[in-house]
Amino acid sequence: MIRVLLSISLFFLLFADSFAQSNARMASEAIAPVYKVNRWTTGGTVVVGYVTSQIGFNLLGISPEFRKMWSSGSSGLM
Amino acid sequence: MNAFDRWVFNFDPNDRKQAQDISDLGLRASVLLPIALFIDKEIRKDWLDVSLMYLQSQVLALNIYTYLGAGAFDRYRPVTYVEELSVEYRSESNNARSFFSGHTSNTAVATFFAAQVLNDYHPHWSTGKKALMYGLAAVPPAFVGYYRMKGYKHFPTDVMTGFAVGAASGILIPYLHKRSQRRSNLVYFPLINQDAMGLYLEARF
Repeated sequence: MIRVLLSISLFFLLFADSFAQSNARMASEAIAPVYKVNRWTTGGTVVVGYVTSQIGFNLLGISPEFRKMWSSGSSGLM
Repeated sequence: MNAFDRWVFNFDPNDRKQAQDISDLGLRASVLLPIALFIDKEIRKDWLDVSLMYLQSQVLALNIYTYLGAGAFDRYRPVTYVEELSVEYRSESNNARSFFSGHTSNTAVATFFAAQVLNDYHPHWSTGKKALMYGLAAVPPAFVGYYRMKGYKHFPTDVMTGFAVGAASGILIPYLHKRSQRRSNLVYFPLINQDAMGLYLEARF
């Protein structure tokens, strides 16, 4: 008798838990945004990244001669 | 020069100007492609976040190109090997920027970013459909890359590297911004019938 009662209790507990998990999953999928974006940080990296790419493009990529000066250090740019 | 890259000289150098124009057009059209994402109502709601991520992806690829590509390697473009052209033209400083293809890279950023965002907003899509999106995303950079080679601007390995860098940037930035969704990979429920009583377990990997 005790075994039957325990089994039935276990059944309802597992069923309730499974149902609760399923509901929670469905709710989170419905309302949660897809991405987490900090606009200040992301916008900041865009601005900084653009500036660094332009600096690099003009200093390193403008000509092979300029690149050689850059890589040779003091004999070039300094 | 390796045999694989020498394949580029199969193209007629006289067609190079037209091919360059086509590749420029392909690049311009592709970088605007992610705007089409906003046709989707759900994505349109997050237009600012998606736009910022897109710019971040492009800027990442641009910095990789600058510091680890053209700015770091002296590789001469295929056009410098065409003896019929004038020495002045072939020795322009810009002709040392063969590695890697920025056109292909920026195109790949745009298309793979669009594919990744679409897939993220539609998690219910099948694996096949998601794979199809990536397959479609590969077409524009392959097209641009082909015409960059035909235009005597890049060797095949330059285009392949640009493709890889662009695709990685386009996928990586949205992926890193993706809100972590902690879901249980374990499904379980009790099983009871006349002969037995047990527990059903299903684990997903």
